[in-house]
Amino acid sequence: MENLTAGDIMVPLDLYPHIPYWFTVRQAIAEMETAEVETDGRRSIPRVVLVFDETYRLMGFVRRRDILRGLLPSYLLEDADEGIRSTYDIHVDPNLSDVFAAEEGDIAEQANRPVSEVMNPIVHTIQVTDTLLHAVREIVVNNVYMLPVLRDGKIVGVVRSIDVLHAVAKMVL
Amino acid sequence: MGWLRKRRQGARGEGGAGNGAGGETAGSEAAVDLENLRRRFDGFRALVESNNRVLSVIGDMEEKAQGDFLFDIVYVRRSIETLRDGIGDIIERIIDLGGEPYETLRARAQAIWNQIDGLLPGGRDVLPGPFVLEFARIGRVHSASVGGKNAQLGELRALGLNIPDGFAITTHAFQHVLAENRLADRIHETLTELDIRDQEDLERASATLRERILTAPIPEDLADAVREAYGELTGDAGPEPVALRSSAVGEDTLFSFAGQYSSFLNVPPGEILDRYRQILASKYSPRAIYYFLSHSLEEANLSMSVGCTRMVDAAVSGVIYTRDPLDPEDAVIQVHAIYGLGPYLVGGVLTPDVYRISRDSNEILERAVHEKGVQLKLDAGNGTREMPVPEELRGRPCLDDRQLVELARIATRIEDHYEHPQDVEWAIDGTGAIYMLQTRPLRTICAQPSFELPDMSDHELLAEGGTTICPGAGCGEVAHVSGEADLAPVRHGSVVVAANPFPALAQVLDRAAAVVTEVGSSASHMATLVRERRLPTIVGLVQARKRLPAGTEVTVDASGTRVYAGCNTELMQARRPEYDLFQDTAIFDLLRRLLALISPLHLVNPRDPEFRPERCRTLHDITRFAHQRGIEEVFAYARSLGRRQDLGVRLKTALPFPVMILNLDEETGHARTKPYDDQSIPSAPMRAFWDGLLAEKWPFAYPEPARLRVDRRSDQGLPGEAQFTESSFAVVRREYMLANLYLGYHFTSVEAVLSDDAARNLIRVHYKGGGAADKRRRRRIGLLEELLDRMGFEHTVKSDYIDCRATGMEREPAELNINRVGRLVMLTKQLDMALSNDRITRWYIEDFARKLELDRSKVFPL
Repeated sequence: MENLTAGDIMVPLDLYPHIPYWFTVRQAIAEMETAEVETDGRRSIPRVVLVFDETYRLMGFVRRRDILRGLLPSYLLEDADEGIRSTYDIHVDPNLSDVFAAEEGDIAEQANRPVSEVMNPIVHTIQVTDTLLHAVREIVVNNVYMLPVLRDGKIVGVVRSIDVLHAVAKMVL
Repeated sequence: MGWLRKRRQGARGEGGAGNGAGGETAGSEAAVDLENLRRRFDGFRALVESNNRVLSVIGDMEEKAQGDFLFDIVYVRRSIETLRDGIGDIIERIIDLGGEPYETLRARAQAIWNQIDGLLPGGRDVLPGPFVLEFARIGRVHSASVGGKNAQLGELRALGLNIPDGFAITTHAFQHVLAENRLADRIHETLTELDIRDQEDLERASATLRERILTAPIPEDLADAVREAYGELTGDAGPEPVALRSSAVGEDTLFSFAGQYSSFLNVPPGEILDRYRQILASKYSPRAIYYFLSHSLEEANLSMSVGCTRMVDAAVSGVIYTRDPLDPEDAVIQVHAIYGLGPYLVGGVLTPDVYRISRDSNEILERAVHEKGVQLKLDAGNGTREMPVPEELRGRPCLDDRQLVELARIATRIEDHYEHPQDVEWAIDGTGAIYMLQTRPLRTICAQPSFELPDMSDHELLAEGGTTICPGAGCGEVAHVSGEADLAPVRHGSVVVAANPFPALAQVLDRAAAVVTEVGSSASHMATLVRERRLPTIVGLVQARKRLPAGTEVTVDASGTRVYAGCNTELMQARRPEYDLFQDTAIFDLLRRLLALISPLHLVNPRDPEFRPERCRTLHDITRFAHQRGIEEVFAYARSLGRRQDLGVRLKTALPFPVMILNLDEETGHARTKPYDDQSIPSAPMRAFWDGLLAEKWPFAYPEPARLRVDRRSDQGLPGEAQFTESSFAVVRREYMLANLYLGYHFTSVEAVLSDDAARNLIRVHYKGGGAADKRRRRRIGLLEELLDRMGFEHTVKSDYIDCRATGMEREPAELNINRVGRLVMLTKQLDMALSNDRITRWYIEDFARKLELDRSKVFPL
């Protein structure tokens, strides 16, 4: 068991949802709503969609909250470029939306933004030969939900926190 | 852009290497190349035109074969000739474009044409050739020069079966007789003025024509050739009588001409030429004229050959049906047999013994033995004579089990060879040797007995019994006929009642509602003719004339072998579905058989290794193959030029990839150098296509560097980034476009013709490849397949490749669909990446269908 590697527990790339960067937020939503990741007979709704460029290079990822954030009109967002944390620290009174009479139409319009405007860059990756323990450490230390797995510099899959947990469960339960 | 720059530099580099004159040379080379490309393109366009013409003829024939439209042999011939021209043109064009690899198509096409011509009655011109041909040198391919009967005899001989020795006097000899006596035009004139529905007119015309032939001298060179062949046939044995049988061109096809022409048995040498002339004259007997004119067969194409064979002094003779004509699915062989010579059987004089033999086990399933009081025998030295059958033999079977099994074995062999049920005439001589005398396709009818019949119990049953020759029911006034003289007064809609099915009855079949005879069997010539016409017929109904008085109205239930008093339309209605009046006529059957050689498409996938000229089994395969390879040849050539120099003019477009446009409408030497822009594209279909591409946004929104804080590993993606904008180009005309686009990792080729002529309009899309995993690429193809299907495209898919086409759309829907194809090409750019499962694929299909307004109700009908 101690020999388990990232490659053993990862979700192969072809089973994991991904889109090109010019796709819209709407298409990313469709991907999340309809895609199911199936591993070991278990199905789960993806929390993250990977984003690639034309030459199939990994550019970034979008999470549910990135998408939701992308749907908000800009006037409801302060500090837009501050990144992830700002989504939790809303200083604008949400009731302002009533004042500005934001409507569903606005959301539909926002949904047509390219996903590249709301995606996050890939910062942390692991190698296909890295150990399970290394994967746990990367997830914990960097506070991320999933890690792209590379082989020879190319992405071949992802390891999610749930995949790590399943592997650990088999060891300890 | 890098690609374009590099190419330009390359071109400059070449020019720079030489002097100023070198630059000019390069320019004129370019002009030559362009001219070559244009010429090839013109060739390809002509190929496409021929392809379209061929496809439209095939479509029309298929429609006619559905049975809702009437057509005649002239239509069939004209269609075949259009196809012949079109296919010939297509083959020469593709050879012109691609050369030697395509030359095998000629042989393939010829093989198919040989089969087609074999089905057509006398469709072949009579080519100059020998006046006589020995059977040893004849096969079924010779039916144009020796007629059906002789050709099939030669074929049987080649198959190793026993036939009487002999030779054929060819159709060329017949044409020679006509030509030497200047008869062809006069015959044509007489027939053109003839009204075949007028019995007297028919007889008058027939008499005139026969007289002309009978008084025409046989040219001396022909007479010499016949004498010489006769000498070789009889050899040292000295003079002996022979049999002379008609062998008309076309009679081995679905048009039977059964018993229409004369034959003579036991002809002494001195009478051969006279008898020969009589047989030629029989081509114009009233019933023969009636037959070919009523079938819309062109007289001029129906040439006559005569077979001259050693006499078989038949002890027993008969007919084999290799299937039961009324139940062809049943694996049963029918043997009909009488004592003596065959004419008493096929002429309907006697009711023969009928044996049914299992095809599989050769077990004799049934023997129906009839009283055979007389037989036809050879008269000493000349002709034939009726003789009594010895008392002790009359009621006995005329064949023993061993002979029956042997006949069944031969029957199976012949049917297997022809791959179609056969009607075979045979004879057994005094020594027990079995001879085959003729074989032709057997006309079969599938009677379906499972219909609700009306209750007939309260109708007066006038007669019952006999054999069903052709199922169905018909009613009318009874007309008694016993010879040719009785035929003229038979009114339309009569029930014809005769003592026996004599050959001249053929003339009244079209006027009859039903036929009943007192003797006869399903093996008579008349039986063949009534089945050809779907005429309800009973034979062997004893005392029919006595029980069915002339002038009374009766209903003949041929399927049930009963005759009722009065007219019962209910019964006729109930029997109606058992046969179809038009669909099963010979002409309809002919069309269906021709179509089997013309329309099925076996070569569908160009990626298949079987997509080769040798695999073309139908005309449709040939045109499909040539069309596909034509496109490829033109593009291969265009690409070979594209590497060496600038081809065409750049399109300055809002889309960020380079496209070169080659406008074939431009005059040589006045090539435009100024780039086109999105508005000035010189092609209607390309404008529609380009508008579609522009309507869907190209991803300009490349992420800001701030969002790409990653170390973008340069080796992370797929290799060869530059490749993705490689040489997209379009070859256009005002109403034409052929665009090759490489967007991302997929290759798209769109060909379109957009004009006011719906028949010319065409949209053709090839779509291939992708950068994502195989499964996702296939999902994208599945998505395209469904959307294009909703747009009315036909398509073939293999793995991640789709080839689809729409033809025959009116301008407006065609333009809309070209536009949609443009939008789809853009919408699906790298979509394969996103198609991680079938559900998301389904979501995209519906999403795009909405975007493209492809609700089913909005799809334009084709």
